[in-house]
Amino acid sequence: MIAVCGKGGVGKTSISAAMVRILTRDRKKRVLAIDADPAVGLASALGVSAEKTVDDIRNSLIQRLAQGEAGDRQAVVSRLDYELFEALIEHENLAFLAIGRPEKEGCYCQVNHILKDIIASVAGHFDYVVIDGEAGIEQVNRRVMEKVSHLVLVADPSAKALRIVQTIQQVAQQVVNYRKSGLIVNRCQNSREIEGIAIPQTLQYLGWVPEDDVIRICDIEGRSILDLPESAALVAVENCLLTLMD
Amino acid sequence: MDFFGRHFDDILFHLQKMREKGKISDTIHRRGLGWPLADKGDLVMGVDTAVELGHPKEGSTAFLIWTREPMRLRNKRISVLGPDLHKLVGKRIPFGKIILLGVDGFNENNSYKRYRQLENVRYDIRLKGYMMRGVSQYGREWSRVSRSAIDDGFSFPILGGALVDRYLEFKFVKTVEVVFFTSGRRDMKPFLPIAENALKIIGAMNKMIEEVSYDCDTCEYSDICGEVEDLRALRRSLQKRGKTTDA
Repeated sequence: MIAVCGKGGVGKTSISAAMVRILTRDRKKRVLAIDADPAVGLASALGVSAEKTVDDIRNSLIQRLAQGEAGDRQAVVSRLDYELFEALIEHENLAFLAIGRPEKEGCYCQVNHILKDIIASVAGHFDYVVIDGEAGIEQVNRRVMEKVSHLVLVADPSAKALRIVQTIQQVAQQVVNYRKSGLIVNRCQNSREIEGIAIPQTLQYLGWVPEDDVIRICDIEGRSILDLPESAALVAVENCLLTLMD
Repeated sequence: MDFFGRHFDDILFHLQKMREKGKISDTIHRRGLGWPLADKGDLVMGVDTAVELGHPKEGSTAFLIWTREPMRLRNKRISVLGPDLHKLVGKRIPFGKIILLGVDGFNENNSYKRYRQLENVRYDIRLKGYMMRGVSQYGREWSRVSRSAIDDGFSFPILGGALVDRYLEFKFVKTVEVVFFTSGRRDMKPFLPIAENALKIIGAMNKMIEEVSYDCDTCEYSDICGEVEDLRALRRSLQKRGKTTDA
């Protein structure tokens, strides 16, 4: 289970979509893409439309429990995995699930706990899971990413972005039981730029990804990365992924 | 509470006619046919699907009804009107499923709770290679069977058997029959108005209990309550008590 995290605007979603593209090339493998960013950008990057989100299911569950379905609590909870199946959007060997909007005020700890378990259970049906994370560290803090095995930290060449991924990793080390983590530096102009960056020693460096006009235009136009021709950026992401999974 | 006397008459009549035409294959379920269970609901993706039953574009009807005369049913009979799963590989077909239950002890106080328990049984069926992809409150059910399950011999008797076993776990269920329809809309046609009417009765019951609303002048179910005495009895009972039945 791969989670892609980083500062807002560094290209996490494009990296996530590129990873999904690479992993789904093997038609025998089943890949689940989870969009954990409230902006639901991964849907657009993959060319799917999320009609029902986990947040919709969560709100419906809270409402039903609040309306006194306590007697049916077990029945309501036992149906949750089916509700998640209904929220899955499929495209060949790829399934997509959107988490949706951030939590409203109030403590929904128990509901979130139930949902996390069920998401983990659904994810267990897949060979690979790619989670496009929310910007920043809040999501990692909320322990949404507990079951992640590989943590991908994305930064652009700015010092601020690199500081943020260091912080994310520090937090993640406390709460996420990942096997491996690594840094991808995205949107680099060229190799000279990457040579001038001070990569923190605490981060395993996976590689750099060049600025790519094709991906940028695809992003602007809301087209799917799955349909793009091969490009230097996509090859670079693949190399980073191979290093991560090695 | 016996809402479905007339429906049983009609369903059993039509099924018998189909049997006489040789259109139905019947099996009697015996425990221990054995099929691996999925830990949670099994996920069958489209690319792994051998048979898709009741896809929204094809249509489906699934409902359950009960009778207070359990002996009207041939207990544990599983009937398939149309081809079994191994003959449907590669297909996406309209699908029907009727659960007929012989029960005892249903009254105004427990009918709703028991109905909800029985309705939820479909979420308890977790067989390897079988997935309920979608269920609606309008009697629709969309499910998938994987290629590997078909290769290993998954069939309607196995699915029906799992349902039979689960329903019979309820003390108040005495007999069960399960009917599957796979031969298409023409054979399902006589059953559709019965389904529609049965679902209306269930809708009326749900509305009475969940909305605590007895304003019959504006209720969309007033016609069905007019037809079914036991629905009116339920309403009177609820009005007298001034609350919902226990959940």
